[in-house]
Amino acid sequence: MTAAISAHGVTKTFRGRPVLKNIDWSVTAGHIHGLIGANGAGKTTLLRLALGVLRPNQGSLTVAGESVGQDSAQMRQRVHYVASSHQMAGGFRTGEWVRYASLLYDRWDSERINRLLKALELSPGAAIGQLSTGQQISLKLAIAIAARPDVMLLDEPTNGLDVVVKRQILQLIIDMAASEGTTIVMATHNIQDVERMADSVSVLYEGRMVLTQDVDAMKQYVNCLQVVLPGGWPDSLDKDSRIIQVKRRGQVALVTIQGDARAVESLFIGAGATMVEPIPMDLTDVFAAILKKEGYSRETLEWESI
Amino acid sequence: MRHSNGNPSKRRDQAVLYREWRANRSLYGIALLATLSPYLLTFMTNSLSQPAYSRYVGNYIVGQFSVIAFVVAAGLGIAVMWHDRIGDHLADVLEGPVSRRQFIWAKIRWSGLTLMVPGVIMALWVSVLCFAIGRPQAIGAVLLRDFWLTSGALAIAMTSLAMASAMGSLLFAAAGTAVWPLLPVLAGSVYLSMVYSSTRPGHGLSQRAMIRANQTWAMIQHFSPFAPTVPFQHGSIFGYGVEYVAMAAVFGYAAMTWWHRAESERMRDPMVFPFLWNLYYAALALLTGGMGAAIVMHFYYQSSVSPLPLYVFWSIFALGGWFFWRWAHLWIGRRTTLRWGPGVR
Repeated sequence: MTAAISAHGVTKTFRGRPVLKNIDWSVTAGHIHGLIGANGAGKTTLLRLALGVLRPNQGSLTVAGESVGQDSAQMRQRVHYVASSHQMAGGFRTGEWVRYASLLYDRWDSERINRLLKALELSPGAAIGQLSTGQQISLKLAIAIAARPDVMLLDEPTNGLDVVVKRQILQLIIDMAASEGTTIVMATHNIQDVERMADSVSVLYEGRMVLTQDVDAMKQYVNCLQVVLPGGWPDSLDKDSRIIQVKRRGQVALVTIQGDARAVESLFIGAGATMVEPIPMDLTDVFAAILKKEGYSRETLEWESI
Repeated sequence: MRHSNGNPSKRRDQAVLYREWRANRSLYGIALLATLSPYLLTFMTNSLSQPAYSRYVGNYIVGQFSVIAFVVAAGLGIAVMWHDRIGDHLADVLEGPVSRRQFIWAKIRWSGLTLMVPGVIMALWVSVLCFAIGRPQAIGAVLLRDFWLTSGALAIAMTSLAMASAMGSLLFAAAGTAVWPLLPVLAGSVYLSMVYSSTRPGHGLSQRAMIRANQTWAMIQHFSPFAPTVPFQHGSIFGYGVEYVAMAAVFGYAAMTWWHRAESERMRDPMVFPFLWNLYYAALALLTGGMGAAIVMHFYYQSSVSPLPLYVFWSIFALGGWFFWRWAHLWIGRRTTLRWGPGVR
């Protein structure tokens, strides 16, 4: 499968502080790819490096078949970036900004933008500065879709959106990927969105690329077992590297395991467990377990401890 | 329906020009009107004080009013850059298929047009007037003064664009814009104050030395557009106009190069390029040297008018000042939370 984005040994520092460390990363062309990580993990920096707005201190990136270099303006005809955090330029009306974009993009589709503006209820006469956050993101996405990019980089695209607009926008993204074969990379905190939409996912932690896998494979990467151990927790299991996390309440333990749960089940039975039962995990649980394994040590806030 | 009209590169260029106009049209409009004010104010003043019609045509744009055009030009370059910086509006442009050079080139073209249009209009208008009053021989002088004013404004606008490209702090960009064109005036003043402070009370400079010092001072000042009356006293208006055109070309090129090379993550730093801190230290060192040498010469060296000790003291203070200010700024950046200077982490 062809890679729409590939990064080799990418390192980025800001004032000597490493933000990304020796990143090797690849996104298959035509995939919807989720990029998840805690705050400050380096998601936005990685996207902006892929866009050619930032330059790596070491390593190289190839996006849409082009090496990202000193001035990647031509590449950005085919690579579009949408970030919810940026306010759009004031002093323009929606129609004026659309006219600017129509002159700018070589593959501009005028009919498509007209249909999108109508569907998203964006008036060409509306001042951009007066649009709500959701309307601004909708406008950015409409322009991105009309520009027909090969790769779309979305940075927290659903931040600040209400449920209805969010659903509409996510559906647009899914349809675009399906009908045009556009590669979508979505950096987000919202793991449910990734679980719903993405084909593959990467996890960034403190500037390191911890994992890149298909979503289904990632769900198998970590498993959870509920175990009843009347004789207490056996010391022999403390040093087992497959066990990521154990939460004990009396005789019952919730055990998070890396890899196939069946391989560990027999260990518990051998240790006297009267019940070993798999507990379903969603991607959020898997993500939390991966962070835990990487050393993310924020204490769980429990009601009893307050 | 996909569009395929015209040359893509030309169309993108039009897009950047269109965006620049839409985003900053009010600034360009205000600047254009303000640039007309030296002409209009001169006409008004002369028509009140000089009843002879032909004389006010001849004196047109002479005098202090030209400073207005220069101040407007200095403000224009910084304002059109800062207006795009505010609220991350720059991101909309730079994250699209627009090169850095295209971005700044659009600003250079609109700024140039804004400052040149009033000059061209007034040159045509006054030429017609000169013919109308039967004094066509005055046209040459009028056009020369017009050229001097327009080229001076253009040079300052390009300087301010360059400074705003290389400095992420409004304060620094404004100071940089003021310092460069004023440098000859400052240097002339420092020179003159050093010469005069080296004389003993009651024993001034000889007549010959005074003339030489004043000539040197005037010559140094000539190079600044902010010394507007000097060219008219000493002639050579065309020469200074050419100097300003060269200055505009150099700083226009610098603006394009600096903006092209600026790292996005440093765009909010006072100095986008760390090496520029050296120029800042140099400016401080120049002042330190001048002040230090003037004080020493005034109190401890009163027996001679020879300039040599003056230069020696100036060099010692300037060199020491450079190292001192460099050390001080590194220390401030590393050891304090002021986030000032190249040592900031």
